[in-house]
Amino acid sequence: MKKVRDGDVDALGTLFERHHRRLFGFFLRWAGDRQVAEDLVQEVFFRMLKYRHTYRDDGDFKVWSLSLARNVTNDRWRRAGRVAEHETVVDETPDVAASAPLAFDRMATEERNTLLRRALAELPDDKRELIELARFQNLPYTQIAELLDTTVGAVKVRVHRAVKQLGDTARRMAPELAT
Amino acid sequence: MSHDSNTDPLSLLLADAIVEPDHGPAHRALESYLDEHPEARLEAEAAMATWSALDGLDDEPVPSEDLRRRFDLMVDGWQAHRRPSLWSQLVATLERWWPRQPGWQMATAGAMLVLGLVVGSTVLAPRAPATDLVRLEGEVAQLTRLVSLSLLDQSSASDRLAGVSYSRERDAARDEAVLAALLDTVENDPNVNVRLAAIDTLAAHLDYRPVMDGLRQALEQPDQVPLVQAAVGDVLLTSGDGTAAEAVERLLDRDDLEPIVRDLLTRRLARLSS
Repeated sequence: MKKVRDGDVDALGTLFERHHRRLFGFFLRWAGDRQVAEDLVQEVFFRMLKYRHTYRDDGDFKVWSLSLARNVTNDRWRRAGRVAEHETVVDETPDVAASAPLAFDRMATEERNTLLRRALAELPDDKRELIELARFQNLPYTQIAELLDTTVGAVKVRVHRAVKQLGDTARRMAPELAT
Repeated sequence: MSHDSNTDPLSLLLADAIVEPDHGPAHRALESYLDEHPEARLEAEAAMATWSALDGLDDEPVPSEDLRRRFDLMVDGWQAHRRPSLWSQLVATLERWWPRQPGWQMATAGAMLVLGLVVGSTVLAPRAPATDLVRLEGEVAQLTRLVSLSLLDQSSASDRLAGVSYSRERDAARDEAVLAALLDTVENDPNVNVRLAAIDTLAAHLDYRPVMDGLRQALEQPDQVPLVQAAVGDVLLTSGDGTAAEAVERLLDRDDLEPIVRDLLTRRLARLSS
C-alpha cells in the first residue's frame, strides 16, 4: 500500500488479488447479497485510491482496509435512511436455563449453518460486526480495539456479549435444540 | 442468574479462550476459573459451543470474475482522470515560478517589462533582419504543433476535443502531422463528438489532397457511425470535387446505410445538382 500511496497505482492490483475475497466475505455476510457485496468491494478499493494518503507507514493494511469497509457500510446505511442499531444496555434472556449450550451437533451441517446465518442477521449491527471481525476476519483483539477506538478489555467483554446473544437468538429460533 | 459481563472476569477469560486452540493457557485459566465458579460453567460452555458452530460458516465466498474486470476499469478510469492536462501542467509551472511576496511580484513584473522592451526593440530594430521574426514564427508554430498533437493523443475525450479546438484556433491544422492526427481522429476516435469536431476542422483544408482522400476513406469505412457518415458526406459535397460526389453516391448505394443518413445526403446532392 505504501507503493500505491507514493503514486504506483498499478500496485493496487496485487492488493486486490490478496484481499478482495476477504472483503467480499465481509460485505456478503453483512448485506446477504452478492451483487451488493461486489459493489461495496469495488467501493472500498476506490476509496483506497482516494484516501491513499491516509495510510500510515506503521499501519496495518488489513485494519486500514477494514476501517474503509466499515465506513462504506455506514455510508450505505445512511443513504438507505437506516439508523444503525446500538448495543443494548441489558442483555436479553438472562436466566441460566436459557444460557445452556445448544446441541448444534444434533443438526445437519446445512441446517445448522442456516440457523446461524439467520441468528447472525438478527443481531444488532455492532454485535454482528464484532463477531465478523474476531471470528471471520481473524483480527486480534488489539487490532479490533484500534479499529473501534476502544480498549482491548472492552472488546473482549463485547465479544462475549455478542456470542452470548447469538446463542440466545439461535435458541429462540430452534428451541428443540436446547439441552 | 447471568453473570454481569462488565465486572465478571468470565468475559475476559472466555474471550481469550475462544480464539485460542484447545488446551492452551487461556483454556486452562478459564477452566480453573470455572472450577472455582461452577455457576458460570453453563454460560461458558454455551458461548464456546456457539463459537465452534460458526466454523461451518468459515468458507470464504468467491465473487464473480466480473469483479476483477470492474476493478481494472476503475483503476484505468482513475489514472486517466488523474493525469494532469497539458494546460494545467503549464499553469502549475507558472504558479510555481510566480513569487509569493508582493515586493518580488512587482520586481518580477518590472523585470518582464524590461525584458519585453529589450526583445521588442531588438526585433523591431531597422537593422534587425527579418530572419529573427521568421525564426520566432517558426518556434511558435512548432510549439502550437506540439501542443495540438499532445492534446489529440490524450486518453480523455475532453482533452482530445480541446486539442481539435486548439488546432483550429491556432491554425495548426496547416501542419501535415496535425492534419494526419486529425484524420486519424475522424477514423478511430472512440468518441463521436471528438470525431465530429475533427471533421469540422478538416473542412477548411479540403484543398489539401490527403485530407480529401482521408475523409473519403472515412466515409467508406464499413462500420462507420451514421453521424460521422452524414457529417463527412456533407463536408465532401461542399468541396465541389467530383471524386467526393462519387464517394457519396457509392455510399448511397449501400443497403446497410441508415435511412436518415440516406435522406440527408440525397437531399444535399439534389440541392447541389439543381
